Amino acid sequence: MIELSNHTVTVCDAIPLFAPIDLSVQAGEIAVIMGTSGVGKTSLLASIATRTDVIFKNQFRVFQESHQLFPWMTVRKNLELVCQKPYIDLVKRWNLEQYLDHSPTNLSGGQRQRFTLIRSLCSGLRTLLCDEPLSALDGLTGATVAKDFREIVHEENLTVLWVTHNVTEARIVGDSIYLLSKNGLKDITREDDLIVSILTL
Amino acid sequence: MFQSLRYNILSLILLLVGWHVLYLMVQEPLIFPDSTSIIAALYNMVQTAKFWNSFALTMKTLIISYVIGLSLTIAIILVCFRYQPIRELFEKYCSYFNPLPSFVLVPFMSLFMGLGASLVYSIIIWNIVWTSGLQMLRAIESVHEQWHKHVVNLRWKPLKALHHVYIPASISNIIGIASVSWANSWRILISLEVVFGSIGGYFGLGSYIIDVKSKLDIDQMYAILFVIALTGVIINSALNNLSKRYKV
Repeated sequence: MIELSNHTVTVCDAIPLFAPIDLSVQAGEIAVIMGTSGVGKTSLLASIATRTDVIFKNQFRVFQESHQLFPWMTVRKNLELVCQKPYIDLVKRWNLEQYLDHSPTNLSGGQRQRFTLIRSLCSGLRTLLCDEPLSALDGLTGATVAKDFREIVHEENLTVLWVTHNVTEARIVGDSIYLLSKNGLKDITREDDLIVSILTL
Repeated sequence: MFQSLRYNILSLILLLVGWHVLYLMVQEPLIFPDSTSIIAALYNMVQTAKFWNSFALTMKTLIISYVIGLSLTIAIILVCFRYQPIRELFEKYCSYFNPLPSFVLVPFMSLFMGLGASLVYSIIIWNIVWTSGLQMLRAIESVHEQWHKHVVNLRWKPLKALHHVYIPASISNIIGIASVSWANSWRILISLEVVFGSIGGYFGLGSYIIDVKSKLDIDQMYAILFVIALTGVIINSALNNLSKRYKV
């Protein structure tokens, strides 16, 4: 689980990016963080990933965009190096088996992102920090992957903090949805229209 | 590749034209022979066993000392990654010995080894370790931040991270440094051979230059210089291409 209390991120001589926040993400839960560009979502994930106190003894993984596969080895080697659980079912489920022996540089951004997600889900890590992990996917594929990801997270009882700009993606994947702004974190899970909520804030 | 070949051919033609103009200006064949007589000397020289023996000896010395020097450097880097105090010591020693030209060690080392092949090996190995060691260490450390973060996230041990991430991510830079190191070693070797002549029974390409010069065979002397330059260019090009191929 992730427990944040009175947490903020500072830049340039201790200027806080946002007001102190409290956040609790339980095992088996996906918390989505939304917010305008530059508000500090990625910095928030990075600050969580580098925390070393007792609460964060679990291993973390931050996924950003599409560059996390090592380009000097094949996709299969990338997966074998990190995965501690079988990955082939997921590869087949997302129609990627024909790309296993390709170099990541020969894949599209969306294919790379799906392989990166597979690697994280099969890595044996219990807590995942995902920074726009589906940003390069088209809407339909993104929705399918997000739905599958949600199922697996619930089956495996993983803890996930997920940053996105995509409202549909947030609705599909998130158990709880938060809006990050200069004033801190606001729970908007129950809001009917997320766009209106973001604009209002 | 074809553009590179075109520029190589163009540079050779310009060199030949420039050489011929100089020859016509100097008009002193004993100092500055005609390019055609150098080519003829080269043709005759490559048909003799003496030339190929010298060439083989020079290449053998260079390859052995280069492989030992590079292996030693990589071994030191591995130890430096594992043990922080050794790394700091190595960095200190590099700052002491890197600015020291290898040649100044010749009088000192010759006291222990005499003027033979073992001295040549030692000087080249010394040069490779201190000039390329620190650069390789820095190249490995300066891999892109995202790979470093990845290693931190995966909690990999230093040697595993070095094997799977740091070395592959910086292999292009490492080959580039190895290429510079090769060129340095090649220069040092030929210089040592020229200085020592054939002392101690060692007769490499540099010794060959002194031998033909003492016989006033100036055409052949220039032919050997051409072989030395050409060998350096070919090996450097090969290493540069290798470096480009592995660029991440």
